[in-house]
Amino acid sequence: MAAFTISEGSGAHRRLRWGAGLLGAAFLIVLPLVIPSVAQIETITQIVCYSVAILGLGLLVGHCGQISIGHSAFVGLGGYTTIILVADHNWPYLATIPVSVLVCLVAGALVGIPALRIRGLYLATVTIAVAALFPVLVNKFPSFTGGPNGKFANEEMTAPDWFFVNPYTPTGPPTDHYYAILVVAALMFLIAHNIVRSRVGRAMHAVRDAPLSAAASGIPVAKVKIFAFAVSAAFAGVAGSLLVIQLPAVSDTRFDLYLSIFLLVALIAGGSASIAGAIPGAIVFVVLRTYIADWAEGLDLLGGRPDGGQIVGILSGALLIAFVFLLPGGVIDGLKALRRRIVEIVPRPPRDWERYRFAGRSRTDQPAVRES
Amino acid sequence: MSDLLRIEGLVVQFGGVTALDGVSFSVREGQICALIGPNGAGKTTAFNAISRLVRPADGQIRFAEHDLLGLEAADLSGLGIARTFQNLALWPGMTVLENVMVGRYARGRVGFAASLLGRPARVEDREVRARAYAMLDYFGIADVAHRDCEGLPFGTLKRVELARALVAQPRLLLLDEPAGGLAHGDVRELGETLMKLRDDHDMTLLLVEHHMQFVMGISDYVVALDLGRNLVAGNPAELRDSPELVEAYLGAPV
Repeated sequence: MAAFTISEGSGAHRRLRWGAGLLGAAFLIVLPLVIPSVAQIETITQIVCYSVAILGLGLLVGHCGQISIGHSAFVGLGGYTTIILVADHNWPYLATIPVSVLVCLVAGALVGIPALRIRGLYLATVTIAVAALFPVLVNKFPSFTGGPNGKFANEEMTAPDWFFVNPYTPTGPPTDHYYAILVVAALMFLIAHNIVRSRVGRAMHAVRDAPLSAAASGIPVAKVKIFAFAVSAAFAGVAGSLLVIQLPAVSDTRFDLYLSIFLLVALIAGGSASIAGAIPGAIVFVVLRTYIADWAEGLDLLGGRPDGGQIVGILSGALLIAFVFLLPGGVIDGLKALRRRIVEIVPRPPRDWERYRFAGRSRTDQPAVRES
Repeated sequence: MSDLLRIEGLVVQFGGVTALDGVSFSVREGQICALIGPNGAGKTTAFNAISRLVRPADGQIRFAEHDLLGLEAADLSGLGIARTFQNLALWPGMTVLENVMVGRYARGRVGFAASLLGRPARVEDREVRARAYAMLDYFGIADVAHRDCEGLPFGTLKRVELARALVAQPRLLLLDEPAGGLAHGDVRELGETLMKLRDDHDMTLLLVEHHMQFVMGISDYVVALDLGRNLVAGNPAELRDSPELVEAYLGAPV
């Protein structure tokens, strides 16, 4: 039983939500200022970037029940869009994000088309092809993408003069990047929250759980799936752009099939059907790919061979199995269960529901038949 | 009174099997019409053809002035047709309230683009939530509104499905075996509810049902199918002693 019980929508509930929100925001704002090392600021910035990609993948996999192992391609598409516009056309970094969104919306919708006919394992196979194809395409057009040599921007993103962070310290520029990325990421989390809470979000859940009765309830299943793919890809594209803002260099190996698989592992570890789950998911992702990889590389038993990647792969596989069996709802589910032990939020009837007492068709406020 | 739903010469084939072979009937506005027949008669197939989940090989389905065969399954809800399923088709990952809210999808206005913004969805959400809750209250199950569907008793889930269909305020309600699996008292209550929907709420109902006593008690018109063809049709009093019907159910006297 919970130690405290509060009613949904009550003053206490509102205060609790605002308090938690403000505390979280304050934590994220102060974080880079108290961290002394550039490397650590860069790590938390990466966590923020990847959380957006995982969030997008969650909209598709967790909320709409489709599978994609091709999201590395969308992250890459966003990343390349930004670096090409910045390095070759002198665009400001942040202005490239809307372009990434558009490019990935279209690409995502196209990849979503097979999902109208196939699902599960077969859809996974098709999306693997997308992930495998992306590095090949990058190497096919070296004049455009830099090919296997990668592509770099000469200048990092700089903050305007009025910004409070002093850019002439070692931690200045990465802190600037962190704040810019944080603002964009916060916006993406807000958008994801809005989608999930809306009529469209409910339609996505219905398509995930039972497509047939979704159609019988008036949900255009095909459109909803395409929308989920497009939006999910757009989130991944934004994440790609943010990654380039953090480190303005791309190469084909930065967006390979492994990235897709790690994103999926991180999604499940964080909690796939939860917006907030993207944050623990991203922490798992970055810890696996940087700390564990570094640790494995330093292991004596490998004789100094750079085999960290293999160890990371083995650990991610084990982690995935462990989560599926022990905590299928991911870290966020565990945290929610913990919170319920402390505070139980009791839902209450919607406000003014008596106004809408069922009166059938005879006293409807709008015509029952909508002309299409 | 005019025909709200008219079916003519409906043919449905699954591979080489002809499930429906030229079935015709109509449902008058404001009536409860029942589709009966022994197992395999094609009742549910006819139902699924009407709700556009099965593609007929031939025939016509007209609802008011609309040709349903030119439309998709998802379009029907917007025209004012709602249905329930024989084996329940609720969404286990959502709460009871959310399940009912989805039923009102076609009445919603918030599109894909608007869903990205918070406000329009929140305003709409508030009303849909209240309506769904009121619908649950109508069936006396508002106390489970915030529970997951999983683990609730069958009778409750049947009511949830009915609530999901009704929250769209349909003109025509299609019910696939509404009394199936219900306890005796629940069946009587269901009958009263359905008659109330017809009498007080101006709805037209088409139901597939095996429970004969229930069907004969509430229906205005009964259509009997056998082996994918029309057998007999008429009001319950006319059909009760129909030799064709007795033969279809029990076999011909030897």
